[in-house]
Amino acid sequence: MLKTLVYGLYPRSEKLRRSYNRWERGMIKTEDLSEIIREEKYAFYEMMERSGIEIYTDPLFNWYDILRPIVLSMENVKLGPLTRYLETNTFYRMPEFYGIPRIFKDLTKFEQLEENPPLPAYQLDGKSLLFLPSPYSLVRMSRLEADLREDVLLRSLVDEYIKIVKAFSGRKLVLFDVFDYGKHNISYLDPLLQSTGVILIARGIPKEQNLKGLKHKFEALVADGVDRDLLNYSDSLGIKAVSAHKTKIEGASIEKKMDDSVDLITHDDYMDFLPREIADIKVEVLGKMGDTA
Amino acid sequence: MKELITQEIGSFRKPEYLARDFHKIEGTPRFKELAEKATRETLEVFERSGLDNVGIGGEMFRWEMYEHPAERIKGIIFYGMVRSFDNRYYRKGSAIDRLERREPFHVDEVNFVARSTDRPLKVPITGPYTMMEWSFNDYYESREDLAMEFARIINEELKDIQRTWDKVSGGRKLEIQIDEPAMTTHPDEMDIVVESINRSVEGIDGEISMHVCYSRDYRLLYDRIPDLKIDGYNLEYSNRDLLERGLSDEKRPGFNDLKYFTEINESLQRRKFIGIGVTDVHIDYVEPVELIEDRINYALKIIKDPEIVRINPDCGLRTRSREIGEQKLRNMVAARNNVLKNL
Repeated sequence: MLKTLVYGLYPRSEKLRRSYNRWERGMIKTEDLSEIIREEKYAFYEMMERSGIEIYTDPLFNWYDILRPIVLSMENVKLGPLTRYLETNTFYRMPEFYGIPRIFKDLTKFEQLEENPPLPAYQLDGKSLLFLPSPYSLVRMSRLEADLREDVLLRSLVDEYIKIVKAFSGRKLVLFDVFDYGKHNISYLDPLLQSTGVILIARGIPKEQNLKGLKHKFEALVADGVDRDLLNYSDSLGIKAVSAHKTKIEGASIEKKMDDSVDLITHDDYMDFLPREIADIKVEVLGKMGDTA
Repeated sequence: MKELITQEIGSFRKPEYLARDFHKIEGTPRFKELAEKATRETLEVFERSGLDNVGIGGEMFRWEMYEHPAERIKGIIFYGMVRSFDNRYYRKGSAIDRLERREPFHVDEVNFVARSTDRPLKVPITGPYTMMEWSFNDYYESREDLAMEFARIINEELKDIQRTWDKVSGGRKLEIQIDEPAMTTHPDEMDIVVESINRSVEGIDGEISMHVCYSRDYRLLYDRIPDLKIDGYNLEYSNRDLLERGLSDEKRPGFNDLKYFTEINESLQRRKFIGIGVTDVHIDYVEPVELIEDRINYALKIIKDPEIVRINPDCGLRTRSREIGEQKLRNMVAARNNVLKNL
């Protein structure tokens, strides 16, 4: 048996997509949309339970991309131009930093902002985890419009993330990375690891030079391959077994290509790149993989 | 060769009677009747506006540039909508088997439009790289393999169009426009772009142009012009330009990179023509004739030879109402006429 994880922005249902269209045209009220989002989220949580997914995050149905609500909740950051996400045909609004970011919104309350998406109305069920883009990815996907030192910016983002975790009573957090670290060292995450359990979804396979200096361990570290040395920095390891960029459905049996340190399987990117119907099937398959592995 | 030929790029807003029921009636005699009616009305708009080349009558037979061909290819299946940005979604097909053309994409349309006007036409067709980029690849080994398969299919389609054209052209030359909005998306894949486009047009006897828009860096395209078997390029420039009048580099930032195009073009044995987008299709503001004149004159300061410059909107005008679309075309033609008088 392996634990299974579904994280990040999940595709909207046809009903939700249409509801957003109607809301944008002023045909339904913000409260009505909020209620539809709530219903859709709880239907999602039920599906996770039904499919045997043990760990899952808020599906972020009220988000337009993985950065925007965070950006809209912070001072000194503005939304820039639409920008392509990696090699996909999906676009996000590039954040522009004009100073040290500070959370200034109550993230637990639903609120409509000038820019479309309501703030992260974390309608979490009893089990769902928080999801955030890693500070490293947030900065790399942004433009610095002020003379800011990157290390200062990264540390300040960690401080703000700790505030978010506290606002949700210390919920565990899935931290998502879009880019390989290269020579980048992420030890500045240590205070965040101290504040709550963190599952890191990394790109590539992090190396000693990326992790050196971390005093606290990740709860799990999911990479694009298995390296037992990562256990120096994580209680367990995970692998990516399902593609979020292909509609082909994976077989339910998973090769035992990992060693005993691997106890978590998940997908290789957040699922929002797939049609909803396919994402739902992949979740079921992931659940079965966990059972049969 | 005629100087400063005016042309449109492809799509024009569909009349409500066609747009409303398009998906419900597609493939029925009723659809044919309405698509033909809409095409005739759009050709009237284009002719009334004074366009030299009336394209394919505003693409009334097609809903959208990706879906239309993809739905006619065996091996592609649609599972549902995928986010483009915000709450905007599109139907993204999955290549799940070897691709084969199920039926022609545009032959009926070409046949009808050619018989409905005696003006020059230009047939737009979505290019292989964009088809690949906008599809899930669940079958082929690589992105290159998938792009080359789309190229094979597009080549079959173009050969069918050529056969039809020979019967209905009335002596007009065949003009094909390969639409490749995704062309410069991945700089490291420009070899795939070039190979797949060249394969698409293999053996086609006619004038082949290419349309690219909203590229972050046209220089990626310009650098590969010597390798592409393409006669000319119809590109978007006004969206990145200012709305103020003027002929200086500062006033015409959208058109600055024509200098680099010219540098490349002048080094070729056989120069390419360039269709310059002089009206922005993403705003309702109808650019005044004088502003469009400035854009054309600025381009001519760089390119010098009006025989290799064509005048068009940035992209298809389907994003605007038919009324605004027509006003934009009218101003474009008026500006061209004024510039011609002073040449």
